[in-house]
Amino acid sequence: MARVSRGSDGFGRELVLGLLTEERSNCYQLDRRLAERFGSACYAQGTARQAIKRLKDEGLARAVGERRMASGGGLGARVTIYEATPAGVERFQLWMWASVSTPPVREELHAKIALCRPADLPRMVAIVREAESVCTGKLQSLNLRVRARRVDLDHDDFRARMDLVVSTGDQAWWESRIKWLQRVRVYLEDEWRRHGAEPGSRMVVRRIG
Amino acid sequence: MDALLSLRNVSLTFPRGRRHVVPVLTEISLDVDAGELVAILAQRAQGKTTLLRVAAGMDRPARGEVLFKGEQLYRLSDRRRSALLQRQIGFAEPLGPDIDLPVLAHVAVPLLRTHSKKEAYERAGAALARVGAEECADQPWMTLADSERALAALAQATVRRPELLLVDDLTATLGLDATEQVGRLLHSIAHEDGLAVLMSVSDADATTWFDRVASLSGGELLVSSSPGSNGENVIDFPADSLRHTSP
Repeated sequence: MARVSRGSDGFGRELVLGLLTEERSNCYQLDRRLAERFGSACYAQGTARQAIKRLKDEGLARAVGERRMASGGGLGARVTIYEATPAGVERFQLWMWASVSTPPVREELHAKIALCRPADLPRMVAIVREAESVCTGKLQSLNLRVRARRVDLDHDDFRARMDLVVSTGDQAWWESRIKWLQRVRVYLEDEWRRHGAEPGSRMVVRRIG
Repeated sequence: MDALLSLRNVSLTFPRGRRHVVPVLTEISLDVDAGELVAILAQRAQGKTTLLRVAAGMDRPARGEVLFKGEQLYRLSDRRRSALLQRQIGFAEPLGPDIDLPVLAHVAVPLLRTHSKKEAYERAGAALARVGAEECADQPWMTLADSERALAALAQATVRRPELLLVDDLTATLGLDATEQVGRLLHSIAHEDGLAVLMSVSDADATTWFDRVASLSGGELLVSSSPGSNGENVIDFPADSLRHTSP
């Protein structure tokens, strides 16, 4: 299988290239499509602009015109429309057919737990608790998107069906994360008790100043 | 406006031997509004069923309050609480009793005290039709497939048109399609009837059609939040500022 080298941005560039092979777009549209279709990846506004700059430098994308954006009923800023070049289409196809990499697990929380001392345990429990709440919030938001996709699903629309598959993958990811955090919280609380905390006690954090 | 169901600082322990107790639920607080669907995501043996039973008025908590429509459930007499459970709170479980009754008769059972047999069976038939399980009406309960049993259990739990529906991991043994069907069904019933739904689940798929998700583990329930919403992650503090206190 052909190998595709990856830049420091992972495959964000290929993703933008893939969106361009689907249809010509400006950077705002690309950012919006990234958010709509890969919401859990949390791409920042401006991701598309950075990717386009690199794709242009590599001859994989090119400007094909300009258009004024609508703004409050009038004409807004002038934006550039991009498309994938033939080399870009070929590059995207290479990426599409290449095996996927196994992502490295570089988790800040893993590192903190690995490096924590007994005195840090109460704060670790609080951090895990907070992460668990945030993850359930993420799952909740994702559920809204999945529901909307299911309700509006056009069974003849291949892309919509694939987007739904990806959403269920995101759900599974958050589920496994929440379940791991649930286990870790209980485990760290046990450790904390082993190191002298009273059962059921809670941590108090004093602000400095 | 008061929530339809409110749990406030609910705690429950089970005895282990003569000297020890196991905390099952710890300081749990949760509100569920009419027409709202709340999922509790938890793994096995984390207190899911106990939490639902406490919410239903079946198991008295050691501490805390359970309010249904603003009324403290455990201050009611057993008889009034039992009447409430029969009329206004539905409880759906995956297994149900091991009985050989036809499904229609089993779904009609909760109505037989208060309605004529004919009326009870008519309403049971309508409840089965609403969940899309009318074809199972004449089948013996014990012969149902898991997915059919889940739908029939929902029909039985909603046949009295309760205001609160508690659902105990009904989708645990179901495949993706059946889980999706149950979720959609609960979503439409809750929104059409203004029914409040509190359901325990062990898989995220089952939460798709729910408005809110909470996480239950080690007896503690965590509701969803945004990063930094409680400020804890932006607090700068020295290591010696940590101390333990009892609540």
